[in-house]
Amino acid sequence: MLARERSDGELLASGVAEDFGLFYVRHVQAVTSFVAPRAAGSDVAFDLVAEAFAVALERRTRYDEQRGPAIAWLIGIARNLIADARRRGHVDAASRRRLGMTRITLDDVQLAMVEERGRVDLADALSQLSIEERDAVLRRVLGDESYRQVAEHVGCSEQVARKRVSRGLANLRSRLDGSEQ
Amino acid sequence: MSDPFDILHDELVRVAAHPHSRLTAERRSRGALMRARPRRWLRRPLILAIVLAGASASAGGLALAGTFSGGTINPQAWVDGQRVQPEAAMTADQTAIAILHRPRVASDALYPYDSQVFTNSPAGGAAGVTVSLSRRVQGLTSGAAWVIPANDGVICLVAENAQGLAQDEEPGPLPATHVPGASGVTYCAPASQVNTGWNVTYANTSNIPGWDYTAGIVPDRVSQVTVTAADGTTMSLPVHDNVWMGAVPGTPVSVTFNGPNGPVTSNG
Repeated sequence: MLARERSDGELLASGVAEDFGLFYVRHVQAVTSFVAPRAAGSDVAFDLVAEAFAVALERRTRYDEQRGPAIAWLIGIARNLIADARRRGHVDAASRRRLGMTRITLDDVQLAMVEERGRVDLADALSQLSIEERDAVLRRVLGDESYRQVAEHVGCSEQVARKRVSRGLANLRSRLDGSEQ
Repeated sequence: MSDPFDILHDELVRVAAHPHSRLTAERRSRGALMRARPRRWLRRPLILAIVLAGASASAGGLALAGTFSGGTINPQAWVDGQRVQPEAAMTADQTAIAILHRPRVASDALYPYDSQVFTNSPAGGAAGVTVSLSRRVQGLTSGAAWVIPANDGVICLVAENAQGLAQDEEPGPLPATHVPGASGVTYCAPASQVNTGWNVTYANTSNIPGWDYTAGIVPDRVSQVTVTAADGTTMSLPVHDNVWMGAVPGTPVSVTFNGPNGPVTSNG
């Protein structure tokens, strides 16, 4: 019998450090793809990704699966950090400081690795989803609409909207993971 | 050359598990920081975080069955069969808070469901929460809150809005029906945190889109607190019986009040 893949909520709530590592592996590509085109340089993009996951680690007990997929939560965190970095002129490192994380300094080769990861095109991956799934994912994840609002806007039941978002995100993740290979 | 994303992965796992992280620093000194959501609370968007005290962290995953007098244990140890005896007497830190040293009356009792959760689940059982010493906050015009002492100088706060209260009052066996808009915060921490600023980040989504529900405990004679949200918005909340609670616009990041020894700001 195949083991059921543990949900993001389960990984975050377990309190086990390695589970947060699994959560990171699951979503780091999508977050990087979202952040990189909006950041001024690979070093800033990496900084944003690092802080976004540090914030997520600090707030992992606050994630509520009922409110939506974890990637929407992560992208919401990243979006706030981007806006904050634009205001401050630099990426805030408050969560990393509080957690006692060591600053990761990147050399040119590593910066190139970040740039390569950031080149994975979220828009391209999105374009490969069905129209229904793409619309639902964009509304839920980037538009921050509730499932009820998604359902109203696309003309389906809330349950169908949930399925479309869930299926779309799963497809998106597999396409992003595949494109990095 | 190491992939920086692998380095970041290892760093995140390290701070999630080892010293120097705030999470584990608390675990080392005060026990495990955890969130538990017992069955009924799953239907109520209520956050529960317990900071447990004691040396149990060093005991790690030892699963020794038995009852200890006083102290607190890791919630996992509770699941594994260990038990703690709630202490009958409060510490000086606890009784320094006015609400906990006023005479207890019948109406201070927790609702049966909350009492059950604190007594018979790792959420409160591991901390030795003394439900028989609970005090209900007086003067609130909406919702309800209780302050309850636990072992090792820990105190717990249960705060919920009117809908959360209505849900809590539902009679009958589980599962209860979810009451739309029910929000609340349950958080346990060392009593000393009252003076340095209750952890404002243990908030939860409220029934108003974009708002969070938050609550905390402050020292005596504090009449109001100012909660600052992530976007810089501030909001004043009144204090009743050492407790403030309410919905704030956005994610709360700090709480400020004028304490007995001067202004206090907690960014936790």
